[in-house]
Amino acid sequence: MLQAIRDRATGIIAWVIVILISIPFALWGVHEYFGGGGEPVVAEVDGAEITLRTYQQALAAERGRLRELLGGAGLSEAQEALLRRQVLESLIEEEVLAGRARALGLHVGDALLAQAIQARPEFQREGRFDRSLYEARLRAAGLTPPAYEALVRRGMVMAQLRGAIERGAVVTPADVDGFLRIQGQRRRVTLITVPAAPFLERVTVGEEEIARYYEAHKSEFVEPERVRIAYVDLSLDALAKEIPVDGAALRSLYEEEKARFVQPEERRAAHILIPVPAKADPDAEARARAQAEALLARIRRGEDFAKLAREHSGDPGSARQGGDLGFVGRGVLEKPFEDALFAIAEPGEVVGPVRTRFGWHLVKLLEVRGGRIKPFESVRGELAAELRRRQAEARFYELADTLANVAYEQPDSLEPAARAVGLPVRETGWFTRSAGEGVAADPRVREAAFGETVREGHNSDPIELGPDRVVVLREIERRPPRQRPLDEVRAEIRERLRRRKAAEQAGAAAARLVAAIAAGKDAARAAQAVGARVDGPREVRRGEAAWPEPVLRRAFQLPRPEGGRPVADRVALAGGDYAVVVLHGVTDGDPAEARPEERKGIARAIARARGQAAAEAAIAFWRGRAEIERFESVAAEVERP
Amino acid sequence: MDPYESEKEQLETLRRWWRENGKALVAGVVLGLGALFGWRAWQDWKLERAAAASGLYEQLLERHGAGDADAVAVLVERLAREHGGSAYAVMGRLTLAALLAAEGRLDDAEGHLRQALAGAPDEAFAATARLQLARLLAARGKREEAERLAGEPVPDAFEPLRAELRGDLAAARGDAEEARAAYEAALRALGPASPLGRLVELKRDDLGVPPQHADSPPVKAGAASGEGAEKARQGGEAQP
Repeated sequence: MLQAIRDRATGIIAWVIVILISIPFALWGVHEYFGGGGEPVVAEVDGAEITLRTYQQALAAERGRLRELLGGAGLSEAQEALLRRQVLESLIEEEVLAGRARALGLHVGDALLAQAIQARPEFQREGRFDRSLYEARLRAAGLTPPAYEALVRRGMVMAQLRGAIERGAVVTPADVDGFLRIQGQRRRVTLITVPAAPFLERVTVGEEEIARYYEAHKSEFVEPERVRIAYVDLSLDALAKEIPVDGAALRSLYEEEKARFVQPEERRAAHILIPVPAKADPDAEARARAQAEALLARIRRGEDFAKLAREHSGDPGSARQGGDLGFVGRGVLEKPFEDALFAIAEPGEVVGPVRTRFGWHLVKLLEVRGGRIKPFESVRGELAAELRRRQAEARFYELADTLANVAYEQPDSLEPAARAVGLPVRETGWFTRSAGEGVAADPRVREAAFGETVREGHNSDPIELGPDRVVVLREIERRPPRQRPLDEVRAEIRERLRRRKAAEQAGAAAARLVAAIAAGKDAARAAQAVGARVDGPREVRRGEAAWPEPVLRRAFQLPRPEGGRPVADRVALAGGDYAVVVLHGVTDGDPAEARPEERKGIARAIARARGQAAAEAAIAFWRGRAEIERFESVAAEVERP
Repeated sequence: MDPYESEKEQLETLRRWWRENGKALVAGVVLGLGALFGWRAWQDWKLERAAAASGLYEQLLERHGAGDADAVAVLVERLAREHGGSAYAVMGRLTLAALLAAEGRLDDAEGHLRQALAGAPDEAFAATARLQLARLLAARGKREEAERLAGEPVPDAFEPLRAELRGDLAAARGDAEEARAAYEAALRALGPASPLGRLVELKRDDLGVPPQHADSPPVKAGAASGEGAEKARQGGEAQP
């Protein structure tokens, strides 16, 4: 039978079979060219996919940055949602830009790519690109070189595209002149302040008014819902504190991990320096060297190094100590000096001369220390803490599990769960949905306390407040939102209304002043008539901080006075006071006074501002034209930490 | 029936089929493979060309960083000659024009911007080139053409930039009202937090914000004078 097959498996039939078999091999993997290999995708931009993994990584990075900013506090649900939206949108924007760069035919060649990567300091050792360091760094980041190179290439073309629009912003000399005229402007201004305080005593507030205000602003006088909770707080740190450690276990840990406790070697050196400038002529160089060698010969003949150092060393700091430099580790001294020092075999030996940029040195080794393993006693505390933590870890996960289970199985009390894990039930004070103290300072705790489960009288789900802290809580007492009655808030409202009326009257007085000035009355005299404070007129510049910001702002916004008649307007100040700003005249800055560097700086700043706006406009335009599809359900798969 | 005989027949059928269709099959496979490899080679060639243009462009950026406009100009000409249809040529021209303008060589800059506008690979580049060209023409005293270019529509995203330009043109013309309106429109879109927003705000403020447009706090009618209430109402409109 087999013989028969072999006989016939020649010629055309054999070929047909070979071709048939080779087809699957030839086409194997073709789908890789057309699809993303089946990874889940959170969004598509013109068919280009943003994978779940990319999204997760970007989210984690952004979350880390935020955590640092917020000092480790957790995010509330709303903040989390905002973070997610922002991360996704910025990934989409990147993809839009990258896709546009592709469509426009932008590309970075291998040579340019290599140049860019090799120039990055994180891949350099002693100022030069180091291939093994490069690969190690990428491995640590979980990337392969081709994947990283593709990322860098993409980043480069994106920068090329964005940069082209950004750098293209034209700034003409007229732009710079205009800016200088405005920026250097001086304005002659009088500031009249109308305080609200004098009106405060004169205003009266009737009962009826208070009642009307209360009715109109009822919602402002609602006390928010409050709750008090009981909770069990399980944390690795607390567990670790209670774990006893015995000396034997510490010993064995120490023996196992000795390698970690090596103290770096330090050497105590003395030297004699014959100074020569770094770029001395060969003559001086030779003379200094000869002098150093002569000294070395005298030392070799038995003369005292310290004495010679005191007499001949050109390093005044150490010469007085007989050349003693004290203990130094590696990486402190200049390389040739260090190499010579650490090459000496026995203390007491002298070598040299060695050239550094200071001159020629003779080097003596005085003492060696370190290079040995730290003794057990000096690392005992550190080890104990570590051991406790390690042992507590297993216990922590076990207890966290128990806590979760018991709290769920017996949802009507925390006691069983607390007993099961051997922790006390603690209680908080009253707190609201928006603010609390202690454990309620964490938004995740407040969210749970005001959530469905707890409201129904059950224990909450376990809340992870960190990688090694879990809290379960339940309600003790809850106060629903409460409308505060009029009697309780009457005084508060009266005060509010008084202040408002006083401010209104100050405002009205200010408005009358403005009208008087507009009608041609003298500003100072009009102000005195109503008992307002007058400051000025004086010349002010932009950004001068002597007056409140809104006053200065308005002073530089008012139209230029025409026909010698000042222009005035009023401005509300903090605390109900009003200001009247009177502008008497404007002197423009003189562009001719600016130095060329100043002009250049201004031109650059304007170009940057316009360029940035143009780049943003371009990206917004491209984004608007791209076909963007978001897969919210996939993005929602990422769990909250 | 003799199985051997039947297989012989099958073999014969196959042979016949091959004689009839063999050539077409081989030709099809060769054509298909040829197309595949040809396409790949074409793609590779395109990437190689793009990489070469990109290399020139990076050199250009280096010279741009050093402020050497003449060297940048040489590289732009090379890009235009060797990679005429490439986006890099237009990108280089935009960069060069801005550098020339900063040096006060406005007529050279104009030429490059005109070419950038003509060769713009998409509307974003076209809008950028057009707005820059208009600004440059205004600075060279060619007001009419500048106004015409600034009047041409741009994509919505570029409206604030166009509004700033129109404000500058109106201010130069002495039309404070129109300039203020244009700056206000730019400000609304940019927001005062952006660097360009701050610049536009300076220019708007310099034109003068009349008292009745100032942002006074709302004052209850009846408590203050009628004029005060009027002010507050209009202020509210000016600053939505």
